Amino acid sequence: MPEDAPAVAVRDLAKTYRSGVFKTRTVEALQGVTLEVETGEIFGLLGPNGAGKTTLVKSLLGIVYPTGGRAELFGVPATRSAARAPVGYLPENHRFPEFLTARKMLDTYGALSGVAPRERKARIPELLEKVKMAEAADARVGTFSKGMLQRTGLAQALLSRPRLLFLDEPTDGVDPVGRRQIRDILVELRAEGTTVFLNSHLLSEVEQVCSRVAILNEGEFVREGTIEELTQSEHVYDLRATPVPEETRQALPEGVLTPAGEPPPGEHTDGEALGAEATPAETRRYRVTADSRAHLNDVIDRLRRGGVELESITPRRQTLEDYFIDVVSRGEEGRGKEKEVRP
Amino acid sequence: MHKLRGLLYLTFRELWAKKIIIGLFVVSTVVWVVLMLFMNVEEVEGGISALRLFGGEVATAQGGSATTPADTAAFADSVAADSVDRDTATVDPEMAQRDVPGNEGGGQGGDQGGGLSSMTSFMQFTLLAQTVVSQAAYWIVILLGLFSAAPLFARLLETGHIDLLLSKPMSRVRLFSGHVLGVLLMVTVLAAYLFGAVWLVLSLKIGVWNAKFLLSILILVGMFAILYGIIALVTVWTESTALALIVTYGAAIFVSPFLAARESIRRALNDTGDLAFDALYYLVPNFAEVGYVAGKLLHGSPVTRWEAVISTAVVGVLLYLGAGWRFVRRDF
Repeated sequence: MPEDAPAVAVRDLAKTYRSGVFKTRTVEALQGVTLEVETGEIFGLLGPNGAGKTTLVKSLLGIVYPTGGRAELFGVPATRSAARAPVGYLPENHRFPEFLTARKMLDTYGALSGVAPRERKARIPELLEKVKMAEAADARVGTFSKGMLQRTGLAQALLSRPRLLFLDEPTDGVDPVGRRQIRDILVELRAEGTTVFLNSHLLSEVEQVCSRVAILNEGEFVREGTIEELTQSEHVYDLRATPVPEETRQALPEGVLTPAGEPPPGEHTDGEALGAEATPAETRRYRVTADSRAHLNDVIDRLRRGGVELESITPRRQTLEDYFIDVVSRGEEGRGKEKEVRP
Repeated sequence: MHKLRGLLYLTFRELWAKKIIIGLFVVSTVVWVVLMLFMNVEEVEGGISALRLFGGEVATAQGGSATTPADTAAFADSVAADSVDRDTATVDPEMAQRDVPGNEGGGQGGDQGGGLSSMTSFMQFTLLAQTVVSQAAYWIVILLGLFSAAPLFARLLETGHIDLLLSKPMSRVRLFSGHVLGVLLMVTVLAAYLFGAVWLVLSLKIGVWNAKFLLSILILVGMFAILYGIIALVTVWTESTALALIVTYGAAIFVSPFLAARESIRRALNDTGDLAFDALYYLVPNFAEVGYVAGKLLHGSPVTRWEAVISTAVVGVLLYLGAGWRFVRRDF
């Protein structure tokens, strides 16, 4: 296993599902996906239903066979069982044996992961404590709520001390307190150098823990980057300044400077609420739209010349959810247009 | 090794969770307990004692010392052993008669001849009891065992379960074979429990230790394995337990009895029909005929046709190769 290899490396990965009696119906779940996840990252995979997220994760775990390209875990081809030795996995719709107790279930899956009995004996109580399931250790899995199953499933995924953890909707069905605890565990794992590949629909959660995110739509990556990169609105800035004189404002091209007004739900600037009203320090909030750095500086110069005192100017950010919806909707619109022009 | 142990444990626990397996253990217990009680019924016990007495007289007449029940039993055992050691490979009444010293006269000698006849009946009774148990168990344990184990294969393939198993660092071949091994081990334990208990009860009570009866365990497990191969193949292709059971039971209950009557049926067929019947004969596990062969082996009767056993074994291997190939190649 090469030491310097990325935790996950995917090159032109393609997967076409064929169905029907003569295998004539096809679905292209992945269309030449390329991706690298470095060791120690918490990587978030986003995408609408049917985007190909699960197929990508399954391809990486050798559960489905790609029809093209290649996938590697720490430099080892994902189709080889050795590639999964340093991997922990919590599937979305897991079905743990209901007749086993949590402790016995962990022991069995630990054995399947190749963990030695002595280590299992020491590690199981420790992990059950970590996921707050110690009290239910000897209760049957069949009696667990969805949240308890998720916590036990997470313990299962962590049992072999994985270097790479695949989590598919880990907080699904978990209460807010439990979600917070799971997030804390993920952050702790990152600090320990574990790579986490997170697939979640809870975008706020992804936003809080992931260092990098990719959006998959219709089997293709449409965006990839850090949370900051993705949520930063291009060429839009939030300005806090003393009131702008009417003549200065009119001198600017239309749409360059607008009162910030009531922000749409979810929008914020570095955690502060926006509003058109004056603040106690007699400043107001505006939105500046400038298509380049030079343009932005020109606007600032004009404002300064007009006697406006600037308090702060920050690139405008939107939530990951806004960004995600924007990207996915644009994709759908594009497809709609494409359909219209087709004969 | 940890992985295989984990797989076996998981399969064992899943089977145990199915109440039918527990039911089969209960039924097995009922069988040997009823047999034990039956053997203790006054009339049966009296009959056995009478047979022992006659056997003892014969032995006394030959050696003059076998008067205690233990000696009688030892004598019967030695007769059985002698006959077993020969090429018939089981307790052969004819051979037993031939081997008893002083019986060269072909049963002449008044009481001696009567004693030998009783000894023969004594062994025939043992064989009869063992045959009834083995033939009944062959059908009941296999068919009920398949019914309880079939959903297990579909469960193995369930989304959320198979994903987790495949994400573990082990090959699909190991996963598949570990699962099958777990099921077969469970059936072996069940068969060993039933046949072992029945064998002990009969042997302790009658004193004839016919070890060939234990061969039934091997035959039962082998046939179960072959039929479970059909379950595995159909389920891995269709993911339908119902269809797998229909196909398996169809082959075992409806088709195989016809195949067992091959010689009679072939006489009524033309060349094309004969060819088609032959193809069916060699492609479908001959559940009924193998059971018949097993009965003959138990009796020590010569088996003249091994085709059914051989073709069934070959089909079994092919079934597992097909199921294994599909399991390894398919997406989950």
